[in-house]
Amino acid sequence: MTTKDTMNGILVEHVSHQYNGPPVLQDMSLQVGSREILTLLGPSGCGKTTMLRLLAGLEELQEGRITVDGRVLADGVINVPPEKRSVSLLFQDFALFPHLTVINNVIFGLKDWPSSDRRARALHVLDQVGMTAFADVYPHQLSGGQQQRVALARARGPRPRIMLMDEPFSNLDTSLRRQVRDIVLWVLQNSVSATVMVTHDSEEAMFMSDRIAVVNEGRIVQMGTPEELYKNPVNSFVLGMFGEVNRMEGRVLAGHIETPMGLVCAPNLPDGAPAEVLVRAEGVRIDPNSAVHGQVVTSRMLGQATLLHLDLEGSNGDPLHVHARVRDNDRTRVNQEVGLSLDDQHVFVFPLPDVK
Amino acid sequence: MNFSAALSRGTGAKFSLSRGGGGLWCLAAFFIAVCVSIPVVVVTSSVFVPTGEVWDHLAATVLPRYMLNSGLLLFGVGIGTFVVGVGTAWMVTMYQFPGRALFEWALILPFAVPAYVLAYTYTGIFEFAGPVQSMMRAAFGWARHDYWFPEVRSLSGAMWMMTFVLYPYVYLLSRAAFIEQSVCVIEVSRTLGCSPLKSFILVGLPLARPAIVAGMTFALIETLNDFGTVQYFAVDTLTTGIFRTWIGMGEPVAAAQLAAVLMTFVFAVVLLERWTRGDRKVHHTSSRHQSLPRFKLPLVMALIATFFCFLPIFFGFLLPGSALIVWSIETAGEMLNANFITYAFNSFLLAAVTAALAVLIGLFLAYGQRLRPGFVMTAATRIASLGYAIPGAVIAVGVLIVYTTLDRTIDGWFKGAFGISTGLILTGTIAGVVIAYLVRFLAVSLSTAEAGLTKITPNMDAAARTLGYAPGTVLRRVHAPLMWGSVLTAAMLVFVDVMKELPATIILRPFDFDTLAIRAYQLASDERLADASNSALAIVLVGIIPVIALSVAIARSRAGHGHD
Repeated sequence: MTTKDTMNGILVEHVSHQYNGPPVLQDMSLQVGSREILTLLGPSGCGKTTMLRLLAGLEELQEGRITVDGRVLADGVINVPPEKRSVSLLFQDFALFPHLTVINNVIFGLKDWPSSDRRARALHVLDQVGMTAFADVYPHQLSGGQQQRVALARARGPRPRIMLMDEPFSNLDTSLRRQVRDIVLWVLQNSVSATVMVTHDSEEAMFMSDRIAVVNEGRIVQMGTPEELYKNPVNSFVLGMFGEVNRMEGRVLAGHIETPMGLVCAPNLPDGAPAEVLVRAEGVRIDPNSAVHGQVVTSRMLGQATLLHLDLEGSNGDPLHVHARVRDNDRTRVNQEVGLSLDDQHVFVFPLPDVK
Repeated sequence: MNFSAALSRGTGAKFSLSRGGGGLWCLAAFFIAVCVSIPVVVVTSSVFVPTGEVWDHLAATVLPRYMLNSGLLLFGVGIGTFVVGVGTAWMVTMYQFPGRALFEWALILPFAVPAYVLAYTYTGIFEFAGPVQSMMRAAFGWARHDYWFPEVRSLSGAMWMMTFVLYPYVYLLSRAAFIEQSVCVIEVSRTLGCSPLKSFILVGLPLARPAIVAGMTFALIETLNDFGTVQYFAVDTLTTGIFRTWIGMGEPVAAAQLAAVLMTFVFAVVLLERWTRGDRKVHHTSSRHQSLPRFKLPLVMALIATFFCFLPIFFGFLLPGSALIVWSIETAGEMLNANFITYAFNSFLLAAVTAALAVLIGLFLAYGQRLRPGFVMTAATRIASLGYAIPGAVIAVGVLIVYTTLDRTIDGWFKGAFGISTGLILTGTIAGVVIAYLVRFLAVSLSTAEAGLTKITPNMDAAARTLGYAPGTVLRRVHAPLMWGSVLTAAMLVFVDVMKELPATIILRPFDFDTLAIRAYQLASDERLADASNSALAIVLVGIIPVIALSVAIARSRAGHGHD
């Protein structure tokens, strides 16, 4: 990285934080470029929202340092208040001011602009989100999707250096969510803000982000591009964040693990070590030539793919229920026995702690 | 209508706005809580002061009767408000019948009439010399002992009076509960084969039970608080007993002990509410609401429903209201003089001062809870809200005992130090009565302020801060415009409550300081019922303001629709 890159955007160094209890964030460090969108992905209570509030200055930093464009915003001594940070927030509940019209909500944030330009600027950002026609309407007269578009316009109005989004789409229903998501992505890509988004939805994270940081229990578990995380998850937690997996356990024997779905390579694990084998639903293939068989219990067409529920004979004779996401459904029938094989790209082996 | 907290559901803030610090704020809140709790502490501790024969005498003679009458009154008003309140609430939410939309808001009109005003009016209308009995005698040629007529001034009369003015508590809360449970569960029970009536008994009633019990608790606390009605009807209850012991017998400690007994009645009512609620907290399994498709009643049933809903409005508002208007016009020339203006001004002064202070303190505590959440703030606001459950007479006794002592101390100290007498600067001025009002009505302004604050989500603060506004500016640009409505509502509710208040005013007002309520009480006591009508009507007219505001809110609010 060049010096210029490290100067621009957000730099978070060794931030730890706690309320009255166990730490919420532990030694978290991350960097977001000035045109980059980084997503903190994790289950609820993992500390991601706290990180966002620290960046905004709504929470006082206890340990570590936050720098934006080379300027220290907080380091435990300095603590720049939120109104002086040039940040904008987008909330799950939109947080529009109910006593102001749409355009006045946007103008509210433009107090540092010359008063003659404010209205034009507000109309411009409203136009970007397609809400000019609702300029003189009050927020409660708008749908959720429209409210979030106004909130986006309000957040973009002052041209903030940092854009923070807290589960911005989770209060919208599916079809609206796609539409609003699209607008937000388009607007952000045409701006020069460093963006940090928080979500628990991996599909949303992949749709929006240049990079994703998977967070669990206050720590970053893995950070990388969506592709890196999808292809090379460091552990089962990261893998589990990105779609449905089938899980089996076994012990390593001569670089392999015997599973109900056949032998799986485990080249880097010592003999006798316990391990878990995780197979994505899309990693289970129908293969007439395979010796492994399963019975189709249910078949559901989901659009691009079909989800098969399969019963296999497990390791101890217990039944094993497996989900397979397959492309074509022509050759499968409910109650039919089918041959199954694994796609190595979607098979992951992680060591388990040895209980013995 | 001092239960906006019960009507509104708060949304919990996930994050507080700032943490730590705030020692001064907490200290001030703690001080307020101490001031509010002093009267109760004094009254309770009086139990341990020996009074010897006075108490023995009371216990042996009048106490059993006081307790029996108070108990019977609670029982009668409980049944009355339940039947009227729940019945009308169910009808207007579930059925379609002539006048339904009108009844929906008109049913709260009796809120505007204090029970004692109703008592004076009914006595005026139905007593032996009143228009009704006179007309009956003239029409049928009866003489005094030829016919039977129910005695208004009796225990059962008091039950009726209080039922007619207090049922709106039960009506409002159970109506809100019926609307909230809404379609889902009721429709499920209909599809499972229950008739509308059976759905009501099997599903609607049990689900609304916490709300109904809460409404009845408010009504019963008001029943225990009442002084004007029972005093005028010569029904000896604990409240009248306190007055008689204090003012008539000059025994403050014994009066305080009676007040303590009255407090145990209040706690019994509150505990009963807790106990019946138990851990059977009712959770709504669905948050989806839509306006109810109302069941259209067949003609005869519809007329019965109309009649049933009309009765409480007629007896609680229309009849007494018209009587007051007629008498006011008759006596206007004689009664509307300079003195009347003085009384009105005194009432206004007390109400305005108290309302302003109550709103300030309420806002202070509500913001304290938001900005500095923690044990101290929570405890302080809880204690500050307790006053509403405490009868005015109890508060008055507690305040008087404390401030008489304080007055003497201050006076003695000033005499010793400067050789001047300060006189009774607390109990001799309106300070004492205003403090008593604050203790009693702080809960009203506090809960209204809290409800107003919950509409301003912490995220709105965060949005305003990140858009470049300092905390003070956020308060001015975002909070002030959004809170304005709540602040006005709180001020209005306290104002009206003070206008109507009687027992604490009687005990604590400075000598010769008469208000409209006091004047109505005095004239009624002198059997000058028609002359009391001007003051009573003025109180009712002021009381109508919040009722109208509430009606408008009801007409607008529908569960699942906007909350503004």
